[in-house]
Amino acid sequence: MGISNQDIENMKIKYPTLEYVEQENTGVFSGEVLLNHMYDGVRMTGKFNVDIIVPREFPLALPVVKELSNRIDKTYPHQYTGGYLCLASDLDLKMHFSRDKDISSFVDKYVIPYFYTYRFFEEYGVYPYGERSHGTMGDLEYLKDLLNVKEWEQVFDIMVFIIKFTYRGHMLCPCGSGKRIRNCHGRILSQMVDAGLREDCIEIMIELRKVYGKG
Amino acid sequence: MNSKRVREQDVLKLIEGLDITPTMYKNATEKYTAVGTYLQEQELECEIFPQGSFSLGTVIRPYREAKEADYDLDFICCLNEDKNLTSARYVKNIVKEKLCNSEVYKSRLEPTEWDKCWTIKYAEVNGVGFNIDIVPAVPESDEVIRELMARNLCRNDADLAVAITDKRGAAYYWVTSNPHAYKNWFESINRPFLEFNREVRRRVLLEKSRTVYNSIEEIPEGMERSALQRVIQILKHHRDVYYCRSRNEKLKPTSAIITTICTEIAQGLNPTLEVFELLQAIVNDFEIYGKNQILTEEQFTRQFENKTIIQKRNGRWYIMNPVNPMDNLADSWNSEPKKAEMFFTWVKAIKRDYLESLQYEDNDFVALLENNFGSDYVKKSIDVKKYANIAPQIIVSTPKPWRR
Repeated sequence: MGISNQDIENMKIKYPTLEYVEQENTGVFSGEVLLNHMYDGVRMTGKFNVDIIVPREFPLALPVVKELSNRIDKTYPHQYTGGYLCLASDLDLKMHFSRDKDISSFVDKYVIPYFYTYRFFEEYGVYPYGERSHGTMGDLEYLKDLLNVKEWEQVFDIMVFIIKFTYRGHMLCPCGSGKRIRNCHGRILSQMVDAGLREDCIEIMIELRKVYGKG
Repeated sequence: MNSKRVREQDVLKLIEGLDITPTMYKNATEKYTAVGTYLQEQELECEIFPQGSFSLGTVIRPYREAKEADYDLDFICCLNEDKNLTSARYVKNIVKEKLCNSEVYKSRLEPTEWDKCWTIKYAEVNGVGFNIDIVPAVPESDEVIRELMARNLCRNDADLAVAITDKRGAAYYWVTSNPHAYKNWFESINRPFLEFNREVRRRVLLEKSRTVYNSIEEIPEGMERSALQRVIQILKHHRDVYYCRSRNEKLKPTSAIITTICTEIAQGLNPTLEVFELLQAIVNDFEIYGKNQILTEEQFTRQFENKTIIQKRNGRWYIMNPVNPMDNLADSWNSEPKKAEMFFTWVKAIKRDYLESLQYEDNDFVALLENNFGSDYVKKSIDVKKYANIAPQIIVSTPKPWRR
């Protein structure tokens, strides 16, 4: 658990401007992230001073990123107090780390795109690849995208299935397609369970009950 | 870091590359004259003349669906008919009917009927095509001319007014327009800007277009560009890209608004200003007008007594058409207040992209050029190598930001 030497090496190669330090059993990559990236023909540049904090319990606990130079406008909605960045839905991050624990790839896939989004928003007032609603709704939106289903009911049924998880490949898929699980959402459901999303599904359910009442 | 001067020259080069070429100008002039001659032969008494950006020398290649598109050039086809003895429906359709009598025009005519014009499509020359939009019209009625004069438009200008047709749903209406008077108004203000350094500019143009012009005298005035005309082109192009990226194309300020306010502002300025100095002055004024959003009308008038080009009166925006006192160019800002709000946000973006960026690091500057003009076009038009430019990496995943 925690950060591996390989992680530190990979970061040194890919992000040489970030220095690794250990603080109270926590690994921190600290320094400047250079943005010079293109998406859909639009190029964004910029410099951001960050601390990428990798907790000792990683990957069970997720890394967090803090922007230190006040480069992100206070009114930008996708940040927590204290300069911490809302990179993506926690479910999204858990799924990512269950497949790939390399920190440099986390920077490639979440930190850089976050700063790109921020700069694009600063320039044009819109999000280049969309945004999520805050809170539980954003988690649900992520699940809907991940499962590639059209109806909220399908997301709900799949969450119930994950909570009760008794996987048999020949069972009918909870998405309601009429196909067997193994020929439908089987793989993604296993990945979700492996990534520890069962706990999140329970939390989402409890939250939904609170908001919409019983029934 | 490259000097401000080098950067300005590069931006100008890129803008010039989106302007109509001398060949296309010549070609378009021949084509619209031919349409006029043809319609006369068809016994449709009419006069055909350019209006809008082609007549003002502010043409810029349109940017549609995130790419540069064909040029649209507008021409009024003014029939020698009494407005009171004809109808908008007849005027609009007789022009099409006559055009369709020719196999050539019939095949070039776009089947869609636009609200105000017919479009004749011309083939591409060097990969760039152009459309000639024919706007049918008749001279304005005495009644409307009197009304214009009653609202303080001078007789000479009022007499030049035309009535163009406007199709809404199945019905046709008349709308007053005055491209001749507008051109006169624009030229009177542009004249000193055009005269400044004129010979030098004409000589440069000749050198660049030796295949089209044999001597300096052959260069038509319509191909010359003053600092004011360049500023208008810069703003129009930036607007097209910016509103497209912001996914708000419906809120774009019209070219008429941009041209009018720039020209009005330029009226009080020194005609020897260079393009970027003029741009700075105009953008400064735009920013002042932006204060209309936070100050009360009374506060604004008190603080900026002589800033009357964009006005807010009783909560309504006004940008008066200089040749039609009955036409408020900002009418749609009142029905759609987001338009005004976004206009002033756009102003900030122009300032950042074309004025502040001149001080940025090379890499950031090139990125801005690429975003505003497309990276392929930038690479082929200017020497990018002189900038310390690092090729960008591609974004590999697109997580959506979220908050607990």
